[in-house]
Amino acid sequence: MTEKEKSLTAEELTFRVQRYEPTRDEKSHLQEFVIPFTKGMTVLDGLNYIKEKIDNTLAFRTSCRMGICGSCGMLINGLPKLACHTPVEELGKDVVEIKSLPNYGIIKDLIPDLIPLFESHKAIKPYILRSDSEEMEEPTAEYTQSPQELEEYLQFSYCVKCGICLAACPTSATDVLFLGPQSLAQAYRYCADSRDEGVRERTAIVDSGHGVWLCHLAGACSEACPKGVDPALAIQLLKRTVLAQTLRLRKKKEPSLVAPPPAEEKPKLPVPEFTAKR
Amino acid sequence: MRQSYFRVLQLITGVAVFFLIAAHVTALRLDDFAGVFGVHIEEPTSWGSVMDRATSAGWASFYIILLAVAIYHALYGLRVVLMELPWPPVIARSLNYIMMGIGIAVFGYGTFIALNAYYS
Amino acid sequence: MNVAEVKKKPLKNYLGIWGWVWAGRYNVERYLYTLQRVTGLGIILYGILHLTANGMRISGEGLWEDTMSLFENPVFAVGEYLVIAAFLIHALNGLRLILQQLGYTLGAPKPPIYPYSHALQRRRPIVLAMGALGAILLLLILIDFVV
Ligand code: HEM
Ligand code: HEM
Ligand code: FES
Repeated sequence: MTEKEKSLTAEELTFRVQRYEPTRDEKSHLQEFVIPFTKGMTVLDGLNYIKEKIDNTLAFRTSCRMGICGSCGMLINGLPKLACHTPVEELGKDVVEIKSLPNYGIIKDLIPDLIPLFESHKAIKPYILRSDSEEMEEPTAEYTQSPQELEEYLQFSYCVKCGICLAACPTSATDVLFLGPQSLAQAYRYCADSRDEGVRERTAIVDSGHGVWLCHLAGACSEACPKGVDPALAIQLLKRTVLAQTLRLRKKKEPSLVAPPPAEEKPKLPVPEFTAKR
Repeated sequence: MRQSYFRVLQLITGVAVFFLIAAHVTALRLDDFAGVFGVHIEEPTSWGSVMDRATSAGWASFYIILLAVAIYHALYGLRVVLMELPWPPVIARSLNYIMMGIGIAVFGYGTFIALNAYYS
Repeated sequence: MNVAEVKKKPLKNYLGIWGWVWAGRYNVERYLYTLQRVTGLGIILYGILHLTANGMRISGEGLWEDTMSLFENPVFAVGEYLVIAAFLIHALNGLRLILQQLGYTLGAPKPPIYPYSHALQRRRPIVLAMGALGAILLLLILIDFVV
């Protein structure tokens, strides 16, 4: 706690930032920047300060600066976090070490190569799969879904694809081919959707050598997830779904139906005088 | 074959090996615990005691089952650990067969020890 | 280097095997994973030794008794205790993993409302109970060993 209080009164912060310039460097190195501390500043604010005032060659991704876009995942004092969602005070230290997310390649400075993440996300077919292809091509109405059915997967649909879970996952630390917590959790998100009929198809993808069974429930992904998505829970539920599918224990469930057309047109409310006349 | 079949077998052998090894270790090393279950073996690792068990059909089959179950569980576990490492493609492709080969060899050797003593 | 070459070769930045062992201050379950792996591999190592020692039976009573007298050395007693401890930890944690990896005891998904919690965290009492049971059994086994 004392250290925390110290940082509250600190006037300056030391940022140790990982630098790597692909056209010049063989290895990455840490560069130190001393920047002023302002109350309530985030790590991203510090990086922006460096880029604007000290060294404009520093490269990092950011866009929304409010934990929505998932661009700014980095390794901050040893743990993967969103830079925009990490107040410096919360770290409790006036020395902040910022590195590129591990378990990815580094393109430049703090920019990880997220292509493997997106590729495995694509591989698990992250969209509703249905057998009524005509309705899918030319939809007549929406599919129905009850609030209870929505809650089965709602939590897992908040994923922003920042890739922090793979940086935390011990399996991803060595296995480049592992699908990873992000895409496995998304596989469950779609399998658990009452509108979806893709369990069979996704099982074939996920029940492979480098698929679900390389998850050992270390739970680091859920601990690190900045959006509270809980990928570890989704993956264990996915394991259950996959087993039920391959052992033929799964109850056949009809996917939800197309919403029926409204029985009759509701009478339009009369338009108030003062708007209609404009 | 589907990975999930192998995996389910590992979970089942995990439960089985739990009871088998617990019984094995309790009977042979933890005499106070064994006493609780009303089992008492004098000098369990002396030649006479070992040979008594080795020539009884019950114990011999217990050990052969333990051997099979533990080898499956352990080698599946080892395979998972090895699969997470970057290997040259040749080894990665033949990992399952390497594991199966090791498993069969170890099981053969262990059964030989047990049967050799059983028929002596 | 031209742009295309640079794009093709990002700098490798994987934590590697050390990343299995230590990755910062994470939850207990993260390190139970490490322990499960270490104890599993440790028991395999013991199994190899065990089968080799057992193989001495083939050569008859003399060699068997010689081998067994070797194991009376206190170093081996400590070793045997460690093996049983590893087995116990692996077994208890393994039983938890069997249940939880099939989605049991973890509860249903919960909408992420700040402050976030996750299923393992909400089920921490299971791990604590398991740890307490393990500690008691380890102590009892130690007493059995010493007495
Ligand atoms: C006492 C009963 C046992 C139970 C309940 C049990 C349970 C388990 C479970 C559930 C796993 C999977 C963990 C994961 O997903 O990472 C596992 C992994 C493993 N087990 Fe066991 N096990 C037992 C005994 C043994 C024994 C006797 C050995 C060695 C001869 C062994 C060796 C291994 C190995 C090497 C792994 C792989 C570790 C890893 O993937 O990280 N287990 N065990
Ligand atoms: C530290 C405690 C242990 C002691 C004192 C012990 C002792 C023995 C002894 C004396 C035998 C010969 C058979 C007999 O006399 O009944 C034996 C066989 C065996 N033990 Fe253990 N053991 C221990 C732990 C384990 C563990 C942890 C495993 C699991 C990996 C294991 C697996 C086996 C197997 C598979 C056999 C049968 C070998 C064969 O006949 O081919 N033991 N043990
Ligand atoms: S900048 Fe969008 S999540 Fe941080």
